[in-house]
Amino acid sequence: MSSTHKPAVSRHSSSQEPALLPLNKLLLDHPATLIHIDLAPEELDHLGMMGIFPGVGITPCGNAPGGDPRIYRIDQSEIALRNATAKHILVRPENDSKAHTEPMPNSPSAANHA
Amino acid sequence: MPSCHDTGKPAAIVLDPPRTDGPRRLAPTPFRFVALIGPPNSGKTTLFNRLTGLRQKIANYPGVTVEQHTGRIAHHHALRDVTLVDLPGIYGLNAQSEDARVAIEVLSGHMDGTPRPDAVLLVLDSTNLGRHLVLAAQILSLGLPTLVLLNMRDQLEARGGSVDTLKLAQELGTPVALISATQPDALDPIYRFLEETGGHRELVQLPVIQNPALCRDWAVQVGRRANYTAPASPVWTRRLDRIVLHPVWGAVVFLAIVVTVFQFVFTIGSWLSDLLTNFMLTAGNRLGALIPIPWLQSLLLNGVWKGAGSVLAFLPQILTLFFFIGLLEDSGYLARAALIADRTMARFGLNGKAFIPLLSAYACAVPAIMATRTIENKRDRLATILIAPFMTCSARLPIYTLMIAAFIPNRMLVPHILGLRAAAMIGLYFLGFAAAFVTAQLLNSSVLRRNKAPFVLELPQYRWPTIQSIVFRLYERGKIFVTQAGTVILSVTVLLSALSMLPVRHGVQSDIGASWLASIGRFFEPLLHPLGFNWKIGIGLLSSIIAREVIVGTLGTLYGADPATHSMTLQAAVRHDLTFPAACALVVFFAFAMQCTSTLAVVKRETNSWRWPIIQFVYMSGIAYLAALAVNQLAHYL
Repeated sequence: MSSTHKPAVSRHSSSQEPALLPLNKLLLDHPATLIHIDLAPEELDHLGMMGIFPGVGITPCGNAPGGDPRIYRIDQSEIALRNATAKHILVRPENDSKAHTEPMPNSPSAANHA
Repeated sequence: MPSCHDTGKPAAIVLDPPRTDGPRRLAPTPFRFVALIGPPNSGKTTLFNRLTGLRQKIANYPGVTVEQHTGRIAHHHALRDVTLVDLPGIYGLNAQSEDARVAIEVLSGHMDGTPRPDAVLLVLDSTNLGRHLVLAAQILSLGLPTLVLLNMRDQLEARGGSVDTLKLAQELGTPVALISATQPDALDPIYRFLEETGGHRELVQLPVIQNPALCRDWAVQVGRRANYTAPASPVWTRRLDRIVLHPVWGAVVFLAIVVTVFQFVFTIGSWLSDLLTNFMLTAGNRLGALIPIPWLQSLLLNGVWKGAGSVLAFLPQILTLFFFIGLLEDSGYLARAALIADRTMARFGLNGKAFIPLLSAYACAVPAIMATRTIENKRDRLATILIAPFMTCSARLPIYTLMIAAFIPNRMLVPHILGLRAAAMIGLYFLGFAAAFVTAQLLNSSVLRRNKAPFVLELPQYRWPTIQSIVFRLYERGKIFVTQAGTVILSVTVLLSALSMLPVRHGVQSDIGASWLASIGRFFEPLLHPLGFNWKIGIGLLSSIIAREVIVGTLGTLYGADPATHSMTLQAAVRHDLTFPAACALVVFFAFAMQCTSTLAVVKRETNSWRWPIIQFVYMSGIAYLAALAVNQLAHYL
């Protein structure tokens, strides 16, 4: 089961909007809007209580030394998520085409970017 | 619990009948049982301690309070009959973790032996109001008189945030106060609320509480109408995280902390410990001279005083360790350490949230096992409970310190940085850590096999640890240790002292070698001989099944009663009685063995079965015996 806001489009969205991408691939300090979560109901509930649900703004703001887990800012909170969880969360970056082409966040260049 | 009408639009949950003539006041209700609730790490326990005068543990990471604590309001005569219950932090009323279940059951009146609260003090973090108001919607929907306390006013204002509490009170239909829980005036609004029967409640619209998106929209709107300005990001937290979580500097900081802690334990702690030992010896000799009856003098001085004193001598080292653990917990570094460790934890099938309970097991396994209540997944929680006693708790510190001081020379391994003794201690801590993780891997690949659980951890801001908090913690820990030394250890040493002098033949007490105690010890000696242990160590091991630190008191009593060693210090007596391989085998045995009845009892309580504590005892004791055997035999060959 997944969240109720199933995206109507695939990960490749229309020409106007940036495509959806898994949260773990979003660049550090690049804000996005959470669109869809594809996890089991109990995990959805838990994430929901922590403020992670479709519609919220989310920004990666740091990571553990190996790049996993990463820290995400939601409102005034900073919440750590493993990449294994974050890859099930689809986000739409806020008009930033770079986010699609930059390397994975746990790569050395991404770490330097932090 | 309120009903859910998930229609996709915010629906009103009516708290009171619609009013017709302005705000309606409820009839005065004497509060008897008041709940303190709020999200994790919002400052509930700080307020609880101030209101009740109690000293429940506080720290700067989510999940410090895992069970309910109750206390009467102190320092306010009119409210002395009001009982406060401090509940574990929750983000919502449908949480799955064990600690959150406790909070929800108390609030809903379903907790056995605990009445339903007749009022609520809802503590929210004012620097994160957008998110925490979501919980306010759920708590207000319970229909109880509620005071909303927006805590951390100082941080909100220092970082440029603000909120209009009057407007927020109108929006929520309940009184609101902006406070700093540590400031002197923080309790005034609480006293006023409790004295004035909770003020007034008005008709308010609440969102459908099971729909997080709608709850959040509602919270944002309420915050906007209350002119809430969110504070700027904590600059120092971001700057420090860039160092602490850096791929290279993060590891350097972590290692520096570990080395500093153990160096201090072995320099400042040992120095203070020596002072205390000398004081105890001098005081014991002077007091002993006042006792005219020889056998009573021997029992009290060589048995009881030396036994209990030899354990008390380690109090400075234990307090030094707890001082550093307190600094780490209160500063917010502990949550970062959990983040750093998560990748390693995941490799061994452990949830990242297990890190904080495992780290607190360095202090004591009992609170650590209770702290596993923050882990939502039952298998992850059980795995953490089963491995926590391998972590090197402070009860192992006395025997480790004794054996290291007796057998390891006091010289530097790395000049000016790390001594050989501190390195040996770090090695023993690592041994416990390795045993825990190997066991976790075994569990994960067998009886507790499962998919990886999600890791979701809220990171607190860094804060300066307060002197008061650290002093309280040291006081509480010292009290536990001294009480243990004054009760369990004293009782054991009295019993052992008596057994070491019996039987009395023709009015003459037995030599220790011919005593009943020696007979008991020699009965077990064949089992322990391959490990290099004699009957005295056997008696020490037997007595330490109650609690690990008892062995030091036991050895103090035994060597004090033995004419061959009674004039020696405990270190010298141990060196006289044990070979180096046997000493290594003894510390390895202690690294792995389950010698703590309190831990077994808490495992039984938390797993609701005798099955797991029995398995744990047999497994750990078996590993301890085999490892000690291997060390003693190998060390003889090398």
